[in-house]
Amino acid sequence: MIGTALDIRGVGKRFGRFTALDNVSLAVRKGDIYGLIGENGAGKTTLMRLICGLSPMQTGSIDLLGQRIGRSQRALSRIGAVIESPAAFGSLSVTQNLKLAAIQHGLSDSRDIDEAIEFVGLAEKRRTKARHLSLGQRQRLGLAMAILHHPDFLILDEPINGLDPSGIMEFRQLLKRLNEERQTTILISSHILSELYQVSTRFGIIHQGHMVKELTRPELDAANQAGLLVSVDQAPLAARILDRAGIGPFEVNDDHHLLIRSDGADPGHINLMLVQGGVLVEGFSRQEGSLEKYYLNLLAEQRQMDRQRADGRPDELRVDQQPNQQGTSGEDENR
Amino acid sequence: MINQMRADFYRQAHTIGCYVLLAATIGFSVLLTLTKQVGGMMVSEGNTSQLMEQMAHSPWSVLTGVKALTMSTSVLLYFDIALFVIVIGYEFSQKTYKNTLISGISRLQFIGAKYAVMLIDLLGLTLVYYLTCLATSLATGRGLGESAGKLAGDIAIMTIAVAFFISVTFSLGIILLVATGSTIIPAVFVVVWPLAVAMLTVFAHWSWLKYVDFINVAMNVALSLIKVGDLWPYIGVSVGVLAVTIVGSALIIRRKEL
Repeated sequence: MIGTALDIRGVGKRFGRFTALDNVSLAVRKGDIYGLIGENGAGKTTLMRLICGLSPMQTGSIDLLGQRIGRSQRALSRIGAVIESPAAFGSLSVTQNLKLAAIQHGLSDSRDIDEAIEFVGLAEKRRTKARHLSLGQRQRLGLAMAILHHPDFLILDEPINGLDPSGIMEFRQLLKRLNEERQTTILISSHILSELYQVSTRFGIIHQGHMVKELTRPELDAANQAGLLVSVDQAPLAARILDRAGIGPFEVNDDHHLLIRSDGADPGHINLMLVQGGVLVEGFSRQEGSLEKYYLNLLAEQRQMDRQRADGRPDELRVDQQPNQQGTSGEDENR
Repeated sequence: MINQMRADFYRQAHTIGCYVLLAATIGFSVLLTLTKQVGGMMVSEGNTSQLMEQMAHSPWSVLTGVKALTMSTSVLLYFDIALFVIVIGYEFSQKTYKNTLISGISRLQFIGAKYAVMLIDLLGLTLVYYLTCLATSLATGRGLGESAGKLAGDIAIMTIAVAFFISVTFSLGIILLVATGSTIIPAVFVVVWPLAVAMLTVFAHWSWLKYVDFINVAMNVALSLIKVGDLWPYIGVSVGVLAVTIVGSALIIRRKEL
């Protein structure tokens, strides 16, 4: 599978009666920084542990760098990972922990260790024992151990947990450098969408063991734009009318929706203009640009669908998926 | 697997506990040799009791010393629990095995490497134990007790027998560690096992228990109380136990949530 670093198909995982993952599929392309987003307990760590072979597979398949997980350990030698908390020997110094990891990977060049220490900014702590490092420094050590052998694929589970704001910024820069300078494909998880947004090129949103949505950064940007969302019967005709009237900038989302990205757009004036032009206006809603709201809306819709499934009303009440739509009854200004 | 073993030896070289263990082993050997102490934590019976009695009342040579030290290997086993914790217990208590297993090593290689490192460490420590006795005895002006060549051969056989059969006991500890994730349970098990087997042998008279009384087997082999021709069943059982514990541990770890 050329161009795909990680291919997960129909993976399921149960712990007793609890379903941690249910038929999850996703693909990470080479060169991606794939942000896996989900609440605590959504299944992110379970998925990463399955990829790393730290948890036995139950259903589905995972192909990592062309190797099937469970059948071969070879692919694992080409990955680096920090799953849950970084694990280092507390009685060994930063350099000694890295030396240990270097030996495990069959590396003999001490420059690899120096390079990894420099890369993560731990040069001043190279002689400090791991147990004396702060949480942020331990995260850096974990990252240094993970990148020491120049892996093709890096898996980071909640790496920004416990980092202070400046640490988060530096960590973000580190990931970007890894991706750009070493062409490392990265799978990173977090429950903080805004943080992943800063670094990721693709996103997967996981909720209660289900993959809710996968989207690219441009798709997320498009879904996340602020403005006045107009629902009409003929979007192309409405676009021509708005264009002639010089209202905008705006974008046609689909056959029935336009997004006017102008804070000063007057819904009443636009409504009158469209109706006079022969367009049936179904509604206006104000769309906010908050990633968190987008995420919460998506989860709310997923919960609603889950409830409907549980009630035995599968899809008849399913709302048209406009996850970024922030309209409320109070904000709607129907014609 | 070789890289993993190298990594383990590197870690041990930077672990103070290993040097403390080495010092304790040397100290214990010196103490036994100087004070002519015989015996350890065991249920004495038969030939072993006779031999202990003889040693206590005869002038000591180097050979007497190394034989007396062999009688005390049950205590050496307790010292070696520290080695078990350093080599493999710490990996599980600190969950550093995640790094190891993600490095591409198979579960079987991981467990095999841990056992091999323990065996090599045990061989080294046991050799130091005997060589310290040799040095201490010579320093106090004792005679060799037999020719130098034969003494060297005896020390080599004692070292291999004691280290191997102690390692078999620890292999049972490894499978318990992997199955339970606790370092306490295997440590207690390693302490209790020789005593429990010895006591059961005395009270229940189950003759087959002699094959799993690994410490006693080690002593009997080292002291030539078992004839070479009779040794194979003991070796067979021990190799079987090793195979079951190493492969079993690998299978458990493969099915375990790590």
